[in-house]
Order: sequence, then structure tokens, then C-alpha cells
Amino acid sequence: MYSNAMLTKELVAASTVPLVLSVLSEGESYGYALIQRVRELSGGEIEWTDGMLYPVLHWMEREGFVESEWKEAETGRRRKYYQLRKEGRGALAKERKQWLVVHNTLLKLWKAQTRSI
Amino acid sequence: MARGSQHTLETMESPNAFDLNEAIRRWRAEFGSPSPLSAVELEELESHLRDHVAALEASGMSPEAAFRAAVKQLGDRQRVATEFTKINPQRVWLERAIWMAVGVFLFSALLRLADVPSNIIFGHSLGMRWNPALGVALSRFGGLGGVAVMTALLWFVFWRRPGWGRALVGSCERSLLATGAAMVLTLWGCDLLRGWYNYALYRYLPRLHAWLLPTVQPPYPDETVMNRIIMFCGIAENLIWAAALCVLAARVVRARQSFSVAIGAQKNAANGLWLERFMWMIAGWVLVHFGIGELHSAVMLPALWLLQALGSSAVLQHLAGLTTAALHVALWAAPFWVCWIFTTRRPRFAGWMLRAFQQRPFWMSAGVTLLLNVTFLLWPLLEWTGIHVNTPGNGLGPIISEWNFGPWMVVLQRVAPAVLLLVLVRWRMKLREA
Repeated sequence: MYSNAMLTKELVAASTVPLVLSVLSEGESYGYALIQRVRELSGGEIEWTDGMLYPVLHWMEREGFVESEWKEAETGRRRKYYQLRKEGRGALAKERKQWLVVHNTLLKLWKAQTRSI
Repeated sequence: MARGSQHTLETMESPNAFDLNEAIRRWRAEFGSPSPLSAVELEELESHLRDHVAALEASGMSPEAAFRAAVKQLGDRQRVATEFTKINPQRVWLERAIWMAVGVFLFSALLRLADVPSNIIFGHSLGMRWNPALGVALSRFGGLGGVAVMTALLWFVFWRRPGWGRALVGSCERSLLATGAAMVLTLWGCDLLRGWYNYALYRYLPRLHAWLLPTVQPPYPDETVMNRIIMFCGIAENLIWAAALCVLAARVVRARQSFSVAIGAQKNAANGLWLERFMWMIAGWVLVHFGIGELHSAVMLPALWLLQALGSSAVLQHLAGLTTAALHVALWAAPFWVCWIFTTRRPRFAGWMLRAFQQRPFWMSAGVTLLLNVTFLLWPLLEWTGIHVNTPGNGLGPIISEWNFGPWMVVLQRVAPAVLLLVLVRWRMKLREA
């Protein structure tokens, strides 16, 4: 199952927090919807073990990045919705900067390589 | 509170049909009772499960297959519970303190049990014929070997039958009082066994020997040689335990992963979990029974030395006796104090220690081992000054025995692990309910 996945587990672990922060920056959401959104955007390449997302969400809540609220959904069931806080936006900006630095550096390197090939 | 609120889905009419509510009830029950997750955490996971099942059903799956797929995608139950525990320092340190208390109890009981056969085999059968000093050394290490074998056996049983372990923990948590009584009785029983054995030995062995081998004289031990052998064995035993602890700690630090959201990350997760618990068990045992004894001696040796230099005064002696007793109890509880401080007051300290262990594993191991064997450094000093202070292995000073604190201390050592464990478990149950 793991061998079919596109990303290594280290990369998945490292990218979870920025991914969750970014999805929440689109508006409040709950655990299942978050997972579906990431799966859909990555074309099914980023596969999470669903249960492992919740400890990360709770950690982010402890750190003050997000806040949560139980709400009644249209089906009558209760869901825990997460919303980005100011600290979370700050953390996201920082993450964004770091990932863009890596992304741009790699991109420049790989452009130079395609030219030389 | 969660169970009632979420049962709004339709229930099936046919008795054989798959009932989602029933399946979810069973799924929740499989976390164990009381569950390692809090009620709110379980409710959130249940809400996720219901969303996922509904989505899969909408795409044409049968309800049962949808439920199975959703549960599988949720990941290994144990691993998820561990990740939840990891994000909360209070729960993490509480868990560690609990396993330390378990280790103190388990290894005290195992060592007492292992002592008797190893004394019979090595101390007397062999020692009587060969050399009493060699017999003492062999029986000490034979006891250690016995503990290793019994630990391996326990490990194997609970590894092959994980259900037994869960059932045991569950029943312990359901009846705390019975568990405490059983623990105290176990330690007391082990002590009785050892007492009877020693009594029988000293009473009947010389007669038996005289009857079986009337012409062979047993070798008589030379006291100074015996003392040296006993001291050497004590130091070697300390070093073996400390080395085992450091090796385990290094393995745990290397194997540790947190926030492992990736599929496949939970390979061997259960093994890693038990490795960590095992490490804390040994840590509790080493700290309470060796480290604390050593620290105690490290404080008391110079103090008693000073006392002798000051001359004998009844007031001073009684003061020293009282201090010894207080210090002993305080040091015994030290590992658990440290856990409590890490848990509630200074969570940052724990981070510093972990980082130190990650960045300098060799020096940290060496430092910890040295600290746990600090009297080893004090002995040459005392030998050199020529002052002999009698410090028995359990750290009780000579004045204590005069004051007759000794028996109370023995009772305390039997009861303390049980009381401690029960308090910690009760605290954990309270935290979960919150």
C-alpha cells in the first residue's frame, strides 16, 4: 500500500501541517472534509492514514494555530469544525516562505539541467 | 454523551442485516475499557467514520464493506491512540510514570523469585563444594539471568497473545483496590518464600551436608574476600542494568516518529510501543533500586564520615538517623517527582533532556551511568582515608537499624509500588474523563 504512494512518509509527515493550514485558510472545515480536499487536490497522490490527522489537528489547536467548535451538520450529526486563527496565518506564511524557497531552488536547478541535457 | 446523539441514521429491519450503529458501538468497545482516548476524541473519530461510510455507500459500496474500508483507512487503533497521547505532555509523562511504577513492581518481584533457585543452584550446591566467594558471585549473576529469562518469557507470552495484555490492564483498571492488594501480596509472598528458604537452608543444610558428605569439610569463607566480591557484584550488576537502559533508550530514540500521517508509517508500530514501555519499566527499576541507593550513599557517606569526625553525640546520631530516613523516602520518590515536574510545571526541561540524548547519545549514556554509579567513585576516597562506614545495600544507614526504622522501610518498599501505581492510574482515568 505504501509502495504505491507517491510521497515518502517523511515528506508526507513534513507537509501535513502546511497542507492542513492551507486548506483551512480557504475557510473552516472538519477532519473528513480536510482529508478529501487534500486527496482531491493532489489527484490521489497524497494518501494519509485518516486517524493520524486528528492528533496533528489537536496539536495545532494546542499551539494556538486553529480553534475548534462542535456544530450540527445538515444530516443532524455533530462534527468538529476547525478554523484558522491569527497565529495559524502567521505559521502558514512562514511555512509558505520555506516551501517556496525549496521549490524555487529545485526549479532553478532542474531548469538548468534540462537546458544542459 | 456521543452515543445517544449520533444514532439518527436509519436502522435495518432485517435481523441479519448489517447494523452500522451496532458495528460502531463494537468498534468503540474495541479500544478497550476504559479507552485510551478521551470521550471527545472518540466522538470526533466516530463522526469521521460515519462521514466516510456515508460517502463510500453513496459511491455504491455495501454498508458492511464501506464500514470495513473506513475502519481500515483510519489506521491501526493502538498507533492512533499513541499519537493522541504523544501530543499531550501531561499524558505522556503520566504514561511514563505508570510504566516506571510497573517496572519497579515487576522487577522487584522477578528478582525475588529468581534469587531463590539461583541461590540453590549456585550459592549452595556449587559454592559448598568449590569456593563460597565464587558461589556468591555466581548466584548474584544467576539471579540476574533468571530475571532476564522470566522477562523474555513474559514478553513472548504478551507478544503472542496481545489480548491477554489488554484484558489484564483492563481488569486492573476496573478494580484498583484488588490490583493493589494483589501487588502487595505478591511482593510479600516473594519475601516470605525467600525467608523460608533461607531459614531452611541455615537450619538443615549443615546437617544434610554432614550426613551426605561426612568426610568433606565445606570451605569457610574469608570475610574480607566475601565483602569485596559482594561489592564487585553490586557494581557489576548496576553497570549491567544501566547499560541495558542506555541501549534501549538509544533504540527508542532512533525508532521514534511522531506525526506519522503517512500510510505505511505504522509498520512495527506495536513493537516500537512496547520497546518504549519496556525502556520506562527498566528506567523506573534502575532509578529506584540502584540510582537512588547510589545517590543516597553519595550523600550519606560523607555525612556519616563527618559525623564520626565530630565525635559521638546522641543528638547528632539521631538527627542523622532521621535525615537518612527522610532522604531515603524522598529519593525513592524522585523519579516520579521528576515526571510530575515535567508534566505540569516545566515541560521544557523534558525537551532539553531529549535533545541532549538525541545529539550526544554516547556522552549522555556515559553521564547517566556514572551518576548511577557515583559511590564507585567515593569508595577509593574512603579506602584512602581509612574510614569504614557501614552502608547496607538498600541505603539504610546504621542508625536506622537502631531506631528500628528498618522493618518499616521494608513494609514501605512492599507497599509503595502498589500505592504509587494506583494513584497514577486513577489520575490517568480522571484525565480521560475530562
